Amino acid sequence: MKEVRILDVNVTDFEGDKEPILFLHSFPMTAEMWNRQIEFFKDKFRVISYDLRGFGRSISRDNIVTMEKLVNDFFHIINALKISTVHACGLSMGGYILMRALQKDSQRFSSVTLVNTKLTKDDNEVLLKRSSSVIKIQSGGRQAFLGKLIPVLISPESRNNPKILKEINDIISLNSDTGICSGLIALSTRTDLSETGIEIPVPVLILSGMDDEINKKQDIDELLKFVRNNSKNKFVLNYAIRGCGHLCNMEKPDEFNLILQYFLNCIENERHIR
Amino acid sequence: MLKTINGISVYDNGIGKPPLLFVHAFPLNSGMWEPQIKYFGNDYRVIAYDVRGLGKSSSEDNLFFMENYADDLVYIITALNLEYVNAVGLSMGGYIIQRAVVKNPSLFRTLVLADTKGEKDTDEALLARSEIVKSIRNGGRNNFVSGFIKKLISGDNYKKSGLVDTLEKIISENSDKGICGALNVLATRTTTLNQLESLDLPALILVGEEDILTPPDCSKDLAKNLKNSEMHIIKNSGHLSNMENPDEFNSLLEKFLNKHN
Repeated sequence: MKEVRILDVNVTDFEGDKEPILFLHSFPMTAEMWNRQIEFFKDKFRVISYDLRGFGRSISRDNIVTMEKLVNDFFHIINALKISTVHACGLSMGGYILMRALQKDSQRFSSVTLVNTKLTKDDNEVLLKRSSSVIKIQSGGRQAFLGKLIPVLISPESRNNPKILKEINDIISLNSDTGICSGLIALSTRTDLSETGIEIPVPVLILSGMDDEINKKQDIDELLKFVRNNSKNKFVLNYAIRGCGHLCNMEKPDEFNLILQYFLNCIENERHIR
Repeated sequence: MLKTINGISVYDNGIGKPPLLFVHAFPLNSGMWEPQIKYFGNDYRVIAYDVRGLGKSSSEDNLFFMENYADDLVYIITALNLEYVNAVGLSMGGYIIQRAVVKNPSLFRTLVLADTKGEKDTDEALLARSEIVKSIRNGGRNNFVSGFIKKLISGDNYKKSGLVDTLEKIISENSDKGICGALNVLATRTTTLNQLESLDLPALILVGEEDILTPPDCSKDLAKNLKNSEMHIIKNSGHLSNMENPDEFNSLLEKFLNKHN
């Protein structure tokens, strides 16, 4: 495993000749949220993960981050690592990046796994909520902001699990106030992908936590419908994991890993049949 | 006459007349209001400021939304101990005033919205702004500025000597960082049109007839939603109607202000 810096972004790369799989984290986390997946997949795949610009060890020099910048970072990173096509898995914000990247250049993907994410951009209400969060954090209200956010990120079941709560708190503590604020602004600069359209030539796995309070079932249903309508090879798998919320990969890592492995196995088997 | 309020550089002529406050457009600063500051300086308490991050106004972290801009405006009004203002905003200045007035209607006696609109960015505009941020970072500032000035003013005014130089000079006072921060603010603003319906304060809506950035149709939408409003189209002018045709702009503004003050 090695760590590389690509345009100020901190990338962890398990290298090797194996097929690459890349994980993109959600707000306000870092690549560490994928530890259980990295551990599980690193023997079979070239596992890559990175802290999104502004988060963890990745720098934003002027604090100005747009969604498009995050998407361009994704392409820079796979180019720099000389990866032609990649299995990519993104949760929430990570999923937004992947969907926009798919729209810009779908040829760079072997498959896409979209976890607890959605197509639509922020409406007025959400925009104003994000901006009041920035104002709150800037005036010393980081703890209050996180105190409200963290319970919403996980299921009622996980809220009583001190181990998960500690993991989440430890990861978020790696992020600076300015990083969190620049992330909130970047989230607000999303475009509406349902209006512009994407042609999806690769297999897609849509994963969700059944108790996700951020991304509701309706969002997942819309995403699924959209992906099915725009899928060229018609390989679309959908699965909802019980007993977990937005951070389902941390809350139910075993189940998450099994489903992702099943999806990747299907792709591999299909290749053999062909 | 120049003071700093919460990091914001504010010009205030300080005279005991009705307050008239100007909020500038992107990517300019309060320097764009020179023709108005002179014209109204005897009869009004003229106030004009540079928004956070632009001109002489500082920004520590460059992290803000339209709400911060709107809150700054309200803060300035309060810090100057003003009971109310007549507020004039052009383009971005209009967006700022719209949000501020929706949140604090009692602070505004009248509203003047020039070359602006009530709708948030389309996806196309959003992506274009992100491209501008990228090109400014990659040293493309001069290209951006010269291209943008062409869009700001009408073709005829572009050919006349003077205005382009003035605009270049004003923009040169703004840092790359401030311009990029403002682009993100513009990209993440909300739609205000439907929120204006509840306001009954007198509003003047002005737009240059050759404005291609916020064409007259945008102003018509504003006029429709502001029930106590009058709208005028300014001749021989693009987006920067107060600078391109100051005579007509000032006389319409003066008539409106005198009626309500």
